[in-house]
Amino acid sequence: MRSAFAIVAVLLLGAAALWAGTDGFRAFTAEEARRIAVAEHPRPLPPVMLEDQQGRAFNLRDYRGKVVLLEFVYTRCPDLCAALGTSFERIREHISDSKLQNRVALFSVSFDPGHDGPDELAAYADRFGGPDAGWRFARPRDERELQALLEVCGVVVKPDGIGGYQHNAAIHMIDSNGNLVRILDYDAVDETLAQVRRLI
Amino acid sequence: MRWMKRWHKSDALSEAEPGRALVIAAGGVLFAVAAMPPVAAWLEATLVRHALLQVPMFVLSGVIIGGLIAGPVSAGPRSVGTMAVPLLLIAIFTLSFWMLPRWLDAARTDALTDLAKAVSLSLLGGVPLRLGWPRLYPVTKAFICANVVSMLAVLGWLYLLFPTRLCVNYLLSEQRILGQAMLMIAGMLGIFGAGVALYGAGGRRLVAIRGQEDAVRPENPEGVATLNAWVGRARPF
Repeated sequence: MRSAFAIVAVLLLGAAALWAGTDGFRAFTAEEARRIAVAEHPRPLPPVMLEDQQGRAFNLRDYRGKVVLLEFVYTRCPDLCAALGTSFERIREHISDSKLQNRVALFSVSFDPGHDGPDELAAYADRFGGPDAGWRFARPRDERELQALLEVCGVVVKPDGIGGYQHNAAIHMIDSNGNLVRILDYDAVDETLAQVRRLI
Repeated sequence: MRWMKRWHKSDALSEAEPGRALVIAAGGVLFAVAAMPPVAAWLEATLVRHALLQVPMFVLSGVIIGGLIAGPVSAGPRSVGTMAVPLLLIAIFTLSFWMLPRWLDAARTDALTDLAKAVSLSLLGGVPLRLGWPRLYPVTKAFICANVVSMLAVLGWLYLLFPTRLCVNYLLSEQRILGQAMLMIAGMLGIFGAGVALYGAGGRRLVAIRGQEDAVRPENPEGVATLNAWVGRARPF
């Protein structure tokens, strides 16, 4: 009898621990966990000075009042970043044809500022139809600010040992108050647009 | 084969009284080595070493330290015998928790999580395993072993074929190596298990029983006792 009680108690406690450790069996990986954490508890972005593809300095804070979509890339990336860029291209097309124009800003931010200068960023931008007022390509000016930004967004960048990086790719949505409110799949164009419309 | 017989005699550790203190000290040393910052950093630097070397090291340290409390099965308190299954469940839940890519990831970057991992794998993984395992019925043990092998194979397959990274702190290539390593270990354990079942002490004993069923009828307690000793039956609960 005691054994049966103990078994039930351990099963309950064990299931509770696994439940708590996976946000209710929803997050088995760190990537899923960061998305749930951000959706449930939006977090303010730290101040970051950026330099765009023309060498112009600006701060993400300058974009308060707009919905900002942020992607983290490095220009030599052979796969994920290109897929992200294609998604941004499609999002830009939808936005420019709708009432969302001037209310949404897209940013491709390089996490490899040592390599990605204005020239590299400009060349990278040309692969996706070039930059315009609604989509800027930029690199952080300060390494510490970059790390703080990546940390808040939950982006982990690992050198892959052959000159490139492995990183988690996603679309980061920042509301008009400068809070990171949502992290979406890198190819979730329709869902991103739906979320943007909800925010505006 | 003697090594297979020894594997069956899973309570050998606690019966080795003279060297007990030394063995338990070895458990402490094993824990300390696996948790020591430079060694831990090296072990956690790749996914394979983290999951297949450091995690087992902590569990093994607990298994060894558990010998301090366990004592010989024959002389152990009855309450421990009745608690064999709950103890095993504690170990299974603890191991399952740290198998989650999310928490393996977190342990890599967060010192407090890493400490929780070390302590829980040892105290809630290894120690209960050490206390509960010798008190389990052989059939239960075999069932668990078979499940461990199949789970390792399934996890290995998953890690090998999953197209994106499950752990953000490790490269995709490491994930694939972990998958291959798990599949290899599952294969080796499977062959080992089959060897034990077919040709080891257990298999031979079953063959020996065949044709002697009359000897182990209830009215022949001596025969029953012999059978129990042969198949390594646990103490009655």
